[in-house]
Amino acid sequence: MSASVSRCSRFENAREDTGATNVVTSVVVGYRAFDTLGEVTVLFVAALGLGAVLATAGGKRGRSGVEPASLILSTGNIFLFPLILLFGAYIFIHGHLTPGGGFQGGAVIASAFLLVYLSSPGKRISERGSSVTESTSGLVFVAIGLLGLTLGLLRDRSQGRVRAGRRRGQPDGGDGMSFLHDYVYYIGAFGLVAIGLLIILVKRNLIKLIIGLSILDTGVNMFLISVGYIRRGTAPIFSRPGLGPDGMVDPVPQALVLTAIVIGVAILALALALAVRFYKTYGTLDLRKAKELRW
Amino acid sequence: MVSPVLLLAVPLGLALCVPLVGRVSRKAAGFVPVIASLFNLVVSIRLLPTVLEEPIIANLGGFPPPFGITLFAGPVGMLLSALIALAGLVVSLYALSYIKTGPTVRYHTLYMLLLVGATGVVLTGDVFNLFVFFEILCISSYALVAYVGDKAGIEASVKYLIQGALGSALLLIGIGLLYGLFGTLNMADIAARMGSVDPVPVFVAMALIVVGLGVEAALFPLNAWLPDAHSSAPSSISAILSGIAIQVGLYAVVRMVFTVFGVSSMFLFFAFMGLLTLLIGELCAFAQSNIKRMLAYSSIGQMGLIVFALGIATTDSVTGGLFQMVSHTLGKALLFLAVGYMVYRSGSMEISSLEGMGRRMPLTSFAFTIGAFSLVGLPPFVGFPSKFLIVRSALAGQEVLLQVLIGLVLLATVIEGAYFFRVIQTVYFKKGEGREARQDAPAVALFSMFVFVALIVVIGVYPNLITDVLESGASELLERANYIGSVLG
Repeated sequence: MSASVSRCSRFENAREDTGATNVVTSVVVGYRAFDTLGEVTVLFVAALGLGAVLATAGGKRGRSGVEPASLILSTGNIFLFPLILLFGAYIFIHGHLTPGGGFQGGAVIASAFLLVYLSSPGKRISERGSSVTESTSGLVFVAIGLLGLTLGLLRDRSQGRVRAGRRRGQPDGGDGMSFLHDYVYYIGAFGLVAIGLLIILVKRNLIKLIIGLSILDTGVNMFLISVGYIRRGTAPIFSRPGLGPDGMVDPVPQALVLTAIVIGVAILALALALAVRFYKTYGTLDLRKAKELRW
Repeated sequence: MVSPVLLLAVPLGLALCVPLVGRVSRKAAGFVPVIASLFNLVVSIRLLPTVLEEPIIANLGGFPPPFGITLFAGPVGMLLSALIALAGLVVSLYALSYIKTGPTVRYHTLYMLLLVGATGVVLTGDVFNLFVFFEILCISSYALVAYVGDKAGIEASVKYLIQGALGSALLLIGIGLLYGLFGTLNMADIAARMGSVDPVPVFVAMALIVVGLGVEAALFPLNAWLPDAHSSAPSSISAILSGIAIQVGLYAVVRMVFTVFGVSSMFLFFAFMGLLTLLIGELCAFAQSNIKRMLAYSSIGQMGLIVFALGIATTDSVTGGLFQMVSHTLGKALLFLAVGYMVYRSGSMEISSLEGMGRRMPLTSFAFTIGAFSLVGLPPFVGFPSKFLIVRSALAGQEVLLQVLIGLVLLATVIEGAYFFRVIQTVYFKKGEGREARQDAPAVALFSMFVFVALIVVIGVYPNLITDVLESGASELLERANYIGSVLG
């Protein structure tokens, strides 16, 4: 798909539009913020679904039987925890200027909490607190959106703005274009898709099926990213004044992939929760053993 | 003017509030979906006259297409969003008495989010945004199918999730292909450039998208999950899955095929697939001894009928198809609600265990009978004008092929009549062993059932109440040039 050479040029005005030099961030939290709201909702749904599926699974047994963590882990945690938090916050806050953003920063911050969980098995995150945080942060997102809607009615932004137009389809220069180089990503992506499909069709063990789904998802995401890639393309970040969009990769697929990854993770989490329930109910992970529903 | 964004933002905000309300009072949490659906119903009905004249286009964040996401509130979108809100309202009332055990706060939150997802799918004008809302709809239904947590529920949910996730992956590949070809995700923008690219990759993208969405729309042969999921879910959820979720899936397929791809050469193929789905669904329903599975297979049949009507693609037949969507939502949701309490009282889903219900639960049985008559297509219920319109439109063209096909549709209706009358006979004319005391469903549940009964009779007697909306919906679907023009200006 070499037709997508200069798709980034459509976003020349991104800095003025959204105030971010990182165009991917502009797309994620500006142009397509509604998708991001949907993505947050999907995560919320998955968390609730997980709770609902595991709720009747018969109690949360304490983690009393778990061995305490080693000295190295618990001591290292004291030093690492604040550093990881700081690093995550930096990626988060600086996301509109440099590579990174809410998604990546959030993942780093979450890993800090996972480390705490590993190093002191006795510790538990308050369920009440986390569910209240979940709800309120979602509400803040919706509230800001509605606020924007109200303000937007006062000041219509789509008026009086002339776009650079959609310059597309500048043919590739053809500087020694090799077939393999252009298509290797697509081949890789569809290889993964094929492996995932094969696993889903052949395997009957639930965990293996879920692994298949995960590989399939990875393949799809890789395909999405490849759609926006151009050879020797750089990240779509206007980091220096005067840096034009030429030679930058298309930011939209990158934003889509961020959303798609989160949705994929949500499905996987729910699938694994169901697998736990399935195992507890049937005593096996073999789908063929489940014969409750036949006609 | 009220923006259609509110139809999504307000229920979503309220859905996020449910866990907070649930902290204060578990009982109060159940009322949040009622409020949100009522809000959506009022707003949708208030917007309907406006969108009949001109569709409302909302560029979210003020970014024009193809940069931002566009909401498109036309007659079809508003009709379906009103239908979702209506069914959502009635079923959430029913759930106040029906859902007593388990993590009820999570149930109400997920239920709300399911409705938000469905509304988002029917209002969005952006393919990727459609995917996101579709996933909200699907993931919340996977979780709700497993809500009871019995063996059947877990098995059904696992099957549903795996098939659904596979469908989503195919859908996403199709969307990626579309973006690669057109460089935009806006439906109208894609539709406008449809002629400018190589048709082969476009066809591949369409096949992937139709198959991906077809899983949720229960198109044959992608519907293996449906009878399990719809029969194992709690009955209030079965009502929403059968009445709303699959129809929203079907809407998504239709929107892609009619508006985005605009492939009129494929319509006859869809009519055939619809007929096949119809016959297989009705035949399987006839063979069932489990009442909820019977209703689930009947839903497959009804979807087939709708696809058939849409596939003929004349103004009358598409109007008939949309009408059938309305009558299926009302009828099937009512049936699941009535069956929910019958099964609860008798303790079994076998049809034979419903003997003597006509005496034991007279009002619930009456509601069931009305729903069944309407689905079969007897006058004066809403199923009659919708089926009549489909048959009339198929015969209008004087084509021999369509006349043969409509014969098969009528055959399927006879089968449908046969299995519904069998149940009604069991309910009324077979005496159960022992004389159980009369014990009808609780008042709230009866009230919600009779809201549907009233609508079925009123729209059945006065179909003109909604034909304006249906007709302009049909022309919205058939005239894609208008759609493109109204979005891109």
